[in-house]
Amino acid sequence: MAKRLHKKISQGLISLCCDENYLSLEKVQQYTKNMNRSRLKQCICEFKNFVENTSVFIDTPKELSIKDKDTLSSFFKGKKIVYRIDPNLILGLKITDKDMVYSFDLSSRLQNLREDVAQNYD
Amino acid sequence: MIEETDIIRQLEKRLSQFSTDQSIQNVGTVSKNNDGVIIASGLSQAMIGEIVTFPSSSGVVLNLDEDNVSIILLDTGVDIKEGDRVKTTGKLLSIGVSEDMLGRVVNPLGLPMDGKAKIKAAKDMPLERIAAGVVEREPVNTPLKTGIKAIDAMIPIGRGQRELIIGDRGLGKTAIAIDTIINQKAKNPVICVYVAIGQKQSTVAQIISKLKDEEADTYTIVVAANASDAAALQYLAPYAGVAIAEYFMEKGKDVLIIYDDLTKHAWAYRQLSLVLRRPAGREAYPGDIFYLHSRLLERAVRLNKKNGDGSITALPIIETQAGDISAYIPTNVISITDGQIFLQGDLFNIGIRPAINVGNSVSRVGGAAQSATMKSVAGKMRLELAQYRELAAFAQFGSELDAATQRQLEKGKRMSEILKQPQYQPLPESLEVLSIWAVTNGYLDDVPVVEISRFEKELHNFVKSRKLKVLNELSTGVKINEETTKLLKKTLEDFKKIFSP
Repeated sequence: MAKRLHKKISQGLISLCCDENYLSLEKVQQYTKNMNRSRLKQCICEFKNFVENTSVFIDTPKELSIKDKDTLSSFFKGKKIVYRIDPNLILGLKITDKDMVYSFDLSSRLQNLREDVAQNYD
Repeated sequence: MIEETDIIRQLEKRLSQFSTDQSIQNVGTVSKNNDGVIIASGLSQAMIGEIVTFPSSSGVVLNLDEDNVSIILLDTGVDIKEGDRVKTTGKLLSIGVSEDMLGRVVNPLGLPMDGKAKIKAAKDMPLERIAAGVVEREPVNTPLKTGIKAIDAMIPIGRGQRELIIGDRGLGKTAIAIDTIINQKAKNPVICVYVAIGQKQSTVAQIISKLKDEEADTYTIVVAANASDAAALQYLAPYAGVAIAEYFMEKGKDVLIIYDDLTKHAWAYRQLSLVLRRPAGREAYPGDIFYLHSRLLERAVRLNKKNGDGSITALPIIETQAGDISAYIPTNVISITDGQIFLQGDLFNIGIRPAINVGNSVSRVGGAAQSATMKSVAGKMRLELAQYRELAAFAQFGSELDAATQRQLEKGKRMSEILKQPQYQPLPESLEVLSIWAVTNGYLDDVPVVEISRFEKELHNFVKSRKLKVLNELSTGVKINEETTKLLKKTLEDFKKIFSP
C-alpha cells in the first residue's frame, strides 16, 4: 500500500515537471530541491522510465534525410524520436522502443553469425 | 571435423540470405545484483524459465513482478553491475544431449568439466517438462539389479521405480548408488546418470575415479553442480540429469538416474527463493518445495511398448540429521517415492554394512520387480529375519530361552551376516540366490558366525570354478524346481566337505 502511494506521488511529480510531454529542467530542479536521497533515487528511476516510455531511440550509422525522418516519425505518433549516430552499425538502423529493440543493422547480423559459428563449429 | 571449405560455404550461404527481416529483442536494465539473483527492469516480454543474456553471463527468469523481473545467474556474475543491459533469447532452458555424452562429466548446462572436447549435441532436451501421462506408462515388472543382496532380496527395485535411499551422513548411501552403477556392466548396460548436487569436488573426483577403475564410466554420465557452484546450477542439476535420461529413454533404453542428494537441492532452492523474496514457509523453505521434488521424480517412468518401451529408474538420496526421517524434506520425498532404503547408524557401527534397516525399508513394487528365482528364496528370508528381529529384543533380557528360539536366533545372526557385503563388490543374481538359499536351508547353521563371510567367498569361488551348471540354472530367472534344488544340495554338500571353519 505504501509503495503504491509512493508511486502515485512520483507519477504526480512527473506531470508537474513536464512541459508539453518534455521534462523541464527548471521545474525538475524546483520540485526535487528538498528531497532526501531515497526519494531522489525513486524520482530519478521514474524520470528514466518516463523518458523511455515517451521516447523512441533510432540509431543510424550516418545522418538520415528529412524524408526518412518523416517516414519514421509516422510510425511512432505521439512519441518523441531521438536520433543517434553510431558508426558501428555499419549499415541499416536500430530502433529502441521502451524495452523492445528492433535491429535492422548489418552489425547485429554479423554478430549473430559470429555467435552461430562459435556455437556450432569447433 | 568439418572441412574448412564447408564452413566458408555455409557462411557465404548465410550472408547471401541477409534480408530485411529484423531481429527483435526484448531488453532490460539491471537494477540490483543480489547473491546470484539479478533484479532487472524492462523485459516486458520475458517468460518464466526463459534464458536471458548479460554482456558476459547468462541467467534464467524465475520471477515476473509488476515492475521488474528476477533472474538467477548461471555463474558468479561478479562483473554484472547496475545499468548493464540484459536481453531475452526466446529460448527456455535446455541441454544439448547426444550419445557422445556417455563417459563424460558435464555441468547442468551441458558444458564439459572433464577437460575433454565440447560435446556435439544431437538434440536439445528441455530441463522442465511434463512427465509422461498414465496412458503412456506400463506397470513396473522388470528388475533393476543392484548387486546388493539385502536390496535385491528384500527391497527389490524395478525399472521405472523411484526408490529413496535415506540415512545420516557417512552411512553408505552413495556407496549403494555406486555399487548399483557398477552392477549394470553388461553387453547392453543400463545407462546411468549420476547427478552430484552440492558435493565437494574431491568427492565427485573420487567417484569418477572409482567408476573408471571398474570400467563403469563407459555407460555413465556424471552431471556435477558442486558446492562452489552457483545455487542456480545446483537447483538445475537434477533437471539437467533427467533431461539427459529422457533423451536415452526416448530411444527405447533403460536408464538409471541417481540424485545425490536432494537435501542439498532443497537447500539451494531455499537460498534462491529467499533471495527472490518469496514467502518462507516451514523451516524457511518456500511453499512449492514439495512440487520441486514431485515434478522431478514423476519423470521417472516405465513407458509402454507403443511409446518406446524405455524406462527411467530414479534413486534419489536424502541425508537425514540424527536419523530423523520425520523431518520436512525426508517426509516429502518418502511420500513421493515408491519405497525407501533406510540406512541406520547403529547397524553401521556394529559392522552391518550395508547398514540397511530391513524393517523400516520397503519397496512398494515388491515381488513384481523380482525374478522368480529370487522370489522363491527371498520370501522365506524376509519372514525369518522379521522373526529374528522380534526375538532378538527378548534375548537382550538375558532370560533362558528354549532350544527352538535359540536356533531361530542363531539362524537370524547368520542371515544378518550373509547380508553383509563389501563395497564395490556387487554380485550377479545367481550368486545372490546361492548365498540366500544356503542360509535359509540351514547349510550355515554349523558354521561359526565369524566364518560366514569366508564361507560365502569360498563357496562362490568353488561354484565359479567347478559348478558352473548351478550358476547357469540360477541365472535362468525361473522358479527353483526340484531338480535345481537337488543340484544346489549336492553343491553345498560337496563344498562343505572341503571347507574347514
